[in-house]
Amino acid sequence: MRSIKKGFLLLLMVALSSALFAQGTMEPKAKGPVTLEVWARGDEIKQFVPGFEAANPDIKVNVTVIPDADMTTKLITVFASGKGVPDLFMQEASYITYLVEAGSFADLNKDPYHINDYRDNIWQATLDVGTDSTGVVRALTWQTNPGAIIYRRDIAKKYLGTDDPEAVSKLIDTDEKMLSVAARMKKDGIRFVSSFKDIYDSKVAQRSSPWVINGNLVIDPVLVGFMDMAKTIIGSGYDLGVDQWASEWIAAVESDDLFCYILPPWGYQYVVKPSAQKTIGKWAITTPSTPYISGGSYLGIYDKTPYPQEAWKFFSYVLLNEDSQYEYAKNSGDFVVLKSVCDKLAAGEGEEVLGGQNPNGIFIKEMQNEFRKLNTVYDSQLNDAFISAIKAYAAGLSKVEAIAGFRKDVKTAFPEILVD
Amino acid sequence: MKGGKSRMSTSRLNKRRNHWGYMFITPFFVVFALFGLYPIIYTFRLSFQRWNGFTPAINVGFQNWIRLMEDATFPLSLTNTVKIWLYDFIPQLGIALLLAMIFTFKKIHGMNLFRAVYYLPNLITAASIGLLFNILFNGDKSTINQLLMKLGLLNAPVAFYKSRAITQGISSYILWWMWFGYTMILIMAGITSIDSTLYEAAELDGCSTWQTFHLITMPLIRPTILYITITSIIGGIQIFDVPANLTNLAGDPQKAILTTSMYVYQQGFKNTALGYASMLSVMQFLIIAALSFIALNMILKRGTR
Repeated sequence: MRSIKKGFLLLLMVALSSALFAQGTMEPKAKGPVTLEVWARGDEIKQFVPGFEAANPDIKVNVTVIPDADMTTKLITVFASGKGVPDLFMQEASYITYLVEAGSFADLNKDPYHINDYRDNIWQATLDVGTDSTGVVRALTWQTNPGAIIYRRDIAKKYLGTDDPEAVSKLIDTDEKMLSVAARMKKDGIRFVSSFKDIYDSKVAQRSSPWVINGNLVIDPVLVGFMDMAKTIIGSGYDLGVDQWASEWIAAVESDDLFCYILPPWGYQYVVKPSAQKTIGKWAITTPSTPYISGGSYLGIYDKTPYPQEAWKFFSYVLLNEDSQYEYAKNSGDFVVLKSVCDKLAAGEGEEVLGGQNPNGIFIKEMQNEFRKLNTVYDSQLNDAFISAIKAYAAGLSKVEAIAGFRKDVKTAFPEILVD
Repeated sequence: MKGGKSRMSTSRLNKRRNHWGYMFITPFFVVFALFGLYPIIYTFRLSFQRWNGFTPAINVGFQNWIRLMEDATFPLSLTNTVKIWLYDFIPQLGIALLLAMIFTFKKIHGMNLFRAVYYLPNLITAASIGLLFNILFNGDKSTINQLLMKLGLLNAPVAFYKSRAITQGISSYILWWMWFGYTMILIMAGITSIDSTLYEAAELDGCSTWQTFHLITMPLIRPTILYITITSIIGGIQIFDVPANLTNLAGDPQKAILTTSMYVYQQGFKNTALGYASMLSVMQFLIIAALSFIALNMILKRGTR
């Protein structure tokens, strides 16, 4: 019996010591190919991997796709334990400020990173989103997102008398004009816009102040004014009545009763282009009266990555390499972050889905505008809460009640914000 | 002497046997301590801290508890949860009892098939079901709207998920549909374990079906009902997957299906207030414990009356 006891103790010691040694093996190996861990919000970054690995045989890239809603949860878990933090990770524009301000991303202009060398060729508005409050650039997107109206040519011809992008833009360049066209379309069962949220995003960018200034909540008059427009849209059925990304919202690309999506180029890339089959050639893109930028997938490098050189190589291949950006944009139909690549794209062929139109020229013109830097760490939650307030107003609450409800929600979510 | 020696060796043997016993149950306790007990204690500690997950946690004393006093959303989420649970649990128990009676006392053709079919929804992931019902009801062109309009029952599509009552109703219905089969099987097991001689005696004494049910079956399956009620309270107060996937994480429309667990998740991982979310979790734990205690007492008291 004693020998069994001894044997058991010995086994226990071996198990414990091997666990201790296992810790040591967690350190990066000096030799052999390096594997970069990338947490992405979608599949698209994978398009860059084969080209990158071919050019850098000593670096492997492992992409894990994590939905937006789960990204923060996963990041908090790995940050808390300090183990398994990815070398590069991504977030959507409205969440990115939080990570940028939390200091988890490396300063992209500190050795070995040198984003300043590329500054002149990057659209300033995209740089602004990934810049923290002290002026340090910590994240960047490969896609640039000027607002656009992606509309059906056949419906435009019937109700506006033309399908020419410039003419269409002028015919719906105010809220009143949009609502009047929407009313005419609705009589025949056609919805003007995919969701009131499309227009909300443009209004958010048209505000004159961010959500929070010096700890005080600011509800911009533009948004308060939009509540009435949204109520009309929802109440009169001028939109599809479902949230963005609902199956019916995507399926509407192929229906004959939706006039337009008001979304940045990613709306064309992810929604219209992949779904269009029988509507190929029936779509066109124009710009809204007030320029704005919205959304985008921002990528940053973990400030404590054991592989800073390799991480920068991948980062610059995805975001700062003209050839890879051009290849990506040509395949996806996305509008990218390097100005030189956008110029090249604008000189290229048009899109089949858009009836041969090449929208890049319009986007380039749009990006010449000045865009206010309005992002705060609260944007994603505060916009969601305000959308809820708009829905409540449309459902019958008074405007005062809906706004009071919004203030209460903000106070509940972020007690540090002064709401009155 | 001999006898004394043998007594000693027997007690030593028992001790050794005890050691082995402890050793065999150790793995469970180690796993439980690591993945059950430690997180509970850690959550309790976090409830006195402010932590966003990225920067170090700060001790804030009772600040999170004071914050709760002013929070109107937590009681609302609790009311929603209890409402959704009650509208699911009462019909669930009723239907399960009825079906269990029918299946146990009447010989029904194809009974095994029915039993399996009723249990089937319980095997599907709750999140998938939430998503499925989202697609069924969401939008003017949703499956249900199209079906009802084709059948001539509706003239215009209904915006199901814009109505608070309908959305809550759909949540309760899904939970009922998922769990009544499971509850029915437990009750059937309870009924089968009752001594058949009691029923024979009741029949000889001329008891009616209602009297047999009321005076024999119900009192004897009380432990089963108790088990079902307590596990349902524990699960019910923690409802998350179905409502979270039915509309959105905010519990639209107008927080109609924002449950306590969804609110904890929102505070923890959307607002990154992990300390406050931990405090809410502790509250949720205390509420579940209190409700379970009340349920236990109520059912046991009835039993002794």
